Amino acid sequence: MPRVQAKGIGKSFGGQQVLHDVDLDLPQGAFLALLGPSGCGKTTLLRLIAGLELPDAGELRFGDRLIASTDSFVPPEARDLGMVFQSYALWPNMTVRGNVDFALKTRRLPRAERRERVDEMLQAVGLEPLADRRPHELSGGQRQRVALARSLVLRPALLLLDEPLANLDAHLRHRMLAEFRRLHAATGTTFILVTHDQDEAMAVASHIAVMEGGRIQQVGTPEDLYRQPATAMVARFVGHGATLPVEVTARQDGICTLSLDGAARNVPGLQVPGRAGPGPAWLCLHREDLRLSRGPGHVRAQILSQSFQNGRYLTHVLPRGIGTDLLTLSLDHPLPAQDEVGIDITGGWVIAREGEAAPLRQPSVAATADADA
Amino acid sequence: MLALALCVYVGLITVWPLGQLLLTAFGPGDEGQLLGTMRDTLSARATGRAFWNTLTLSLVSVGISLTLGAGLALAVGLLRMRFRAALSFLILMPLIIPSQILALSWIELLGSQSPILRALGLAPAPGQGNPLYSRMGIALVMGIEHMPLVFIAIRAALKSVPADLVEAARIAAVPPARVLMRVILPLVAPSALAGALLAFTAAVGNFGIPALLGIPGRVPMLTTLIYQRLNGFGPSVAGQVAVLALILTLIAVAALALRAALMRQLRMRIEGGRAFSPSRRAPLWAQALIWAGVAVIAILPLAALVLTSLVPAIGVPFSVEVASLDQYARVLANAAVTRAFGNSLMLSGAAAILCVAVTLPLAYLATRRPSPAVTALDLLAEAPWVVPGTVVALAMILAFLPPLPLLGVSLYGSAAILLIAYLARFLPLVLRPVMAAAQGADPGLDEAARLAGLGLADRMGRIFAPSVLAAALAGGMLVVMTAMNELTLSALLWSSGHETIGVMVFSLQYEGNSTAAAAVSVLSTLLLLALCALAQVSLRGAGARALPWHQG
Ligand SMILES: Nc1ncnc2c1ncn2[C@@H]1O[C@H](COP(=O)(O)OP(=O)(O)O)[C@@H](O)[C@H]1O
Ligand SMILES: [Mg+2]
Repeated sequence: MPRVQAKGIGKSFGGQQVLHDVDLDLPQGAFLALLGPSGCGKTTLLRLIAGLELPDAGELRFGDRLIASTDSFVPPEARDLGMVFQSYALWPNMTVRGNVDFALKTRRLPRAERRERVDEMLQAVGLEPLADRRPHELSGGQRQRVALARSLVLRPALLLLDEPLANLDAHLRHRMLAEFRRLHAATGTTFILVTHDQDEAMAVASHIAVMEGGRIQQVGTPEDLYRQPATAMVARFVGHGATLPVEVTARQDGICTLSLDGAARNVPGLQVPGRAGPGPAWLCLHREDLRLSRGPGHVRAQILSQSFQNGRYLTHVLPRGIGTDLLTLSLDHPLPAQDEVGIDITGGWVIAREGEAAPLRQPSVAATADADA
Repeated sequence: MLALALCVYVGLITVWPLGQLLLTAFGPGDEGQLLGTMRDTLSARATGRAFWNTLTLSLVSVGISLTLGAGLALAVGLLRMRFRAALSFLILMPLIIPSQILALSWIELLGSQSPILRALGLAPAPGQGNPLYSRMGIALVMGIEHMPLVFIAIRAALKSVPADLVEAARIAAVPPARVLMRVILPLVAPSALAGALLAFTAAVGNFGIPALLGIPGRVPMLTTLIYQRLNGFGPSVAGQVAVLALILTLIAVAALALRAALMRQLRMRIEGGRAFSPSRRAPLWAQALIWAGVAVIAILPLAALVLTSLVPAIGVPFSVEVASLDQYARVLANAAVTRAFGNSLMLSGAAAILCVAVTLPLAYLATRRPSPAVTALDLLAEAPWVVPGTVVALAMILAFLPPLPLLGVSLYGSAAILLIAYLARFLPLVLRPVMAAAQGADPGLDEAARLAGLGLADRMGRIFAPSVLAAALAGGMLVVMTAMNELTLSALLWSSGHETIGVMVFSLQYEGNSTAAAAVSVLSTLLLLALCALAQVSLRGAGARALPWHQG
């Protein structure tokens, strides 16, 4: 399966439009995370790719092969893909081995080869000792591995995973993420993983597609999304970001000169890289773009609360008279709550503000991926 | 206080009669030897024959129920087709129609006078006798009557198969036939087995079908043997028939116990999630096959019954020219028939009201103030529904034939014994849905009212009763529909002046007046369908779910 391409996909359920004009272009061997808040249509998009739903508009291609459009449809069984369901969907009446072996049996493979492939797969996910157990005798993490093994034993060109970690505890989640990365590297299969957790997406994916309200907001590498978010939603969703409403007064060579609104102290000449022309804009910030100022700072803010994490004091502050987002600074000493402090802005990314409703289109992922490689 | 009153009530109508039955069965023989009655009865040839017939014919009928019920449930559950609700209702018809009427309609369909088979030239020759008056005939009609029990069980199981399990197999390119055999069927098999055991229990306790088919066909079953013995020899054979009743009970209870054990053992832990819904459209031939099957099972026999009732006199073959409503005029002019309708309506209505009245406090105590005594009471109240109806009727005779202490009158021969039997037998029909509703309701409501200082009567009337009202109403409706047409109890307990509709149909047919029997059956079926429609429009939500045809 050379690459997965979606063009203008739309889908509605009983009058409710769930997917709007979805475009996606995923290179072979990629690991895509479909990231978005719950209810934004991630599962629906995944099920469309799997062939469990039919699109109302647009078309889906695997390489040159037209897989689904308004008037053609390749059924799921002919798409050569695997899927790990959120519920794991293990067949309760079969053992672990039975689950992994079931689909191979129907492929008329020689017995010895089948056995070898199942053993190899069980070993790869560390389930050999449990091969004769039934699903209800396994823990959540073990079931997850069975589901993975069951999909991968068929050597699909594309593996779809729907929130595979949602039912696991934090510790297990990290182990499984490492496992996903390892299996992805070992098999060369293209992975598409659905998640609502941006940390999870950043941890495993080579590409991330951020969705909201049935639209893809941005597709790119984790670095793209973090450093150059296309919309305010992406900026806030990825990397615990915050956005401040600002005015761009001038732009030259990709550097915007900003003036900060409201009661915030106007420090002329705040220069931040960005894509917005003169006019209203969003300044997208992460923790490391902010520093406690020795002087008055770019922004005045009031300390709301502090918490001690990983040896640093995470300090949540509310900027005075500008925007509504909280900013977070990482400090090495505690400060009293309610104090007013000045904050220096040392970095960030600027995007246009009025264009929020119609998100900026990024260049296709394929291009970025090539640049990466 | 309340608990005590309930104990007395259940004790009087359930524990005492069933206890009498046990005592009689274990009583000494004619010459006073230990367990003599039991030894004599068990060694009798007639007992062995009836036992063997009951066991084998019930098993064969279960085979038929399972085949038909599973086939229809899988077709309706796995294929997309139109009019699915109508189809489900028709499939459940044999369960809704009382068994003596079902038997009668099959007799009319397959007899030499059959208005339908004659038209097709397929009717048996007049001298040949009805093929249904035989062992296979009994098994066939019982199999059809109890098919819906299997259908309901499998349909419910199919509805709880998670969609993910099927889709996972589909994505892995497992062919549909294998998905059915290896994924879906193993998931529904325990329920199918449970439904089959339920059908077995029902077959063992069935009276209407063996009575109408087995008595003329000389195929004795345990239920009809008890009836014939009591009818022929009166109370002097009480000991013998009590032993027969005990055997009957043991078979039924063993099947139910096996069912409970299997359910515990085989119940697979299935994760929840979106329920599976069929995506495959039924091919035309399959739809045609299903409708043809349903027509034969649910429509043709009733059509034969209706056509027979339109024949002016026995022996006249049906044709459009001779069709008339004379039979209806005649049966409606018959005082016994109108009395039977009045009796059945009165008795079933009274039974429904009293059952609801008893259920409310009983369910309240069982769910809000559980104690071992109340739990035991709840279990005992189930007993008359679990054991075959014939056994309950016999127990009533044994308990209420002797004059009541103090009063000195016997209830046998009055309508009261019928009412008591109905109260005992049909209480679970109200108790079960109400208990389910009460267990689903938030107990915090009662506790909050208690903290707010409301007394017991207030809490029961204003908090508890409204929360289970819909279920109680549905249960009451079910009692009316079931009691109005029952034959099993009244066949043993009726007396002249206190006939029921079921007895009327049975005795008209027994006298050979099959056209009149058909007319009375059609009238009572229409009444029943009207009640179904009334229940359907008047009950919603939780209440409607207790109605049998909502389970398909
Ligand atoms: N089969 C369906 N029928 C009707 N509505 C659906 C169906 N599947 C999903 N939806 C609706 O589509 C929206 C997106 O659902 P989904 O794709 O499951 O979101 P996500 O996976 O991002 O949480 C939700 O509002 C959901 O209610
Ligand atoms: Mg989802």
